[in-house]
Amino acid sequence: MTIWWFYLVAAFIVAAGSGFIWLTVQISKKTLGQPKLFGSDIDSTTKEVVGHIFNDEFREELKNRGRLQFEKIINDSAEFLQQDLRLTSSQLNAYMKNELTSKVHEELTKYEQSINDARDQAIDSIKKTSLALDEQRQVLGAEVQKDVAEEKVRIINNFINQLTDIVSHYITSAIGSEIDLNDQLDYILANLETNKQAMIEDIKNV
Amino acid sequence: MSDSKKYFKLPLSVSQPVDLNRLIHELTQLNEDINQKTIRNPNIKQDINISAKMTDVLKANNIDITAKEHRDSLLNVFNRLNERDRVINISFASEASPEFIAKITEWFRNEIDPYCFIVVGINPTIGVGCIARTTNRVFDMSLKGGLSGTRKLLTSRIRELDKV
Repeated sequence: MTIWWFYLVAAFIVAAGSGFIWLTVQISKKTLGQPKLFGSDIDSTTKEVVGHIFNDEFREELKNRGRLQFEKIINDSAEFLQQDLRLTSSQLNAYMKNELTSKVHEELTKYEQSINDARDQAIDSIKKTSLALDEQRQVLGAEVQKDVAEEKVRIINNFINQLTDIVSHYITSAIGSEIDLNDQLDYILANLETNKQAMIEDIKNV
Repeated sequence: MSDSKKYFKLPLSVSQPVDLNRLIHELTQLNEDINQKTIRNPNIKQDINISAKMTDVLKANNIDITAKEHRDSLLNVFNRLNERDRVINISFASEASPEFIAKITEWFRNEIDPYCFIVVGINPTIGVGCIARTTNRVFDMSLKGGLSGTRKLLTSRIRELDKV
């Protein structure tokens, strides 16, 4: 928009200059191109009058007026151009501000959306991981309880199987050599009496 | 003397196979000594030294050791007893005294076989009672064996105590 204004002002300046030159040329033509009514005297008189009218002071006055006019036009144009530039700059600033604001807002919206998506995905992932951990914990808990129960049963069975050894060992350790064989004689003979028939059969079968 | 099962009495002092082997060895040696001395001088009076167990055997069966036929018969009986090999291994928790072994031997000879021998062993893990082993079987008459027979009862009692 600024460059168009510059072209317009330049064209105006060029047109004003051209008009001034054209006016000068036309005046010169009229002065130089009038038919000689009275012969050379007229010409000379005319030249003298013209020279008297368009003397150097008049020309200088015209130049000054043209220069002033030109400067005025230039100043006006510059002022107008400056105002326009200011307006354009303010509009451009507003436009850029709006555009940047909208763009930033849009990007922020997208960024917020992406963050929300990432957060949702993270929450889903954490939930899945938590569920998997719960399942594994339950499985491990069940396995541990099963192993503990099996170990308990194994220990109890082992204890029961070796119960007689344990009790016998305990009693043997407790009584030691306190019980003499003579004191056990009745007990031994009773046991022998109980197994007598089996012993007889085994010996007879030899 | 001809039938050892009917007439021969085996004293309780001869309770183990090693005793019988010693008697056989002693009698063989004695027989040979007497024979040699008789060959040298048939009219000489024999001075015979015999072991206590041999003395018990002679007294129990009223045998004249100077008579050759008695010695031969006795040696024959010993050899037959050795061939029968009726041996019962019995283990106790501690070392048994000779009197205790004599009582056990007496019971075996009265109740099981009059010409059986016993081999006594020591097994400290028995605690109370004994373990007898015949030719083909083992009779666990120890405290451990008794507890094994009543393991269910013992287990139930322990569980009752655990509940209390």
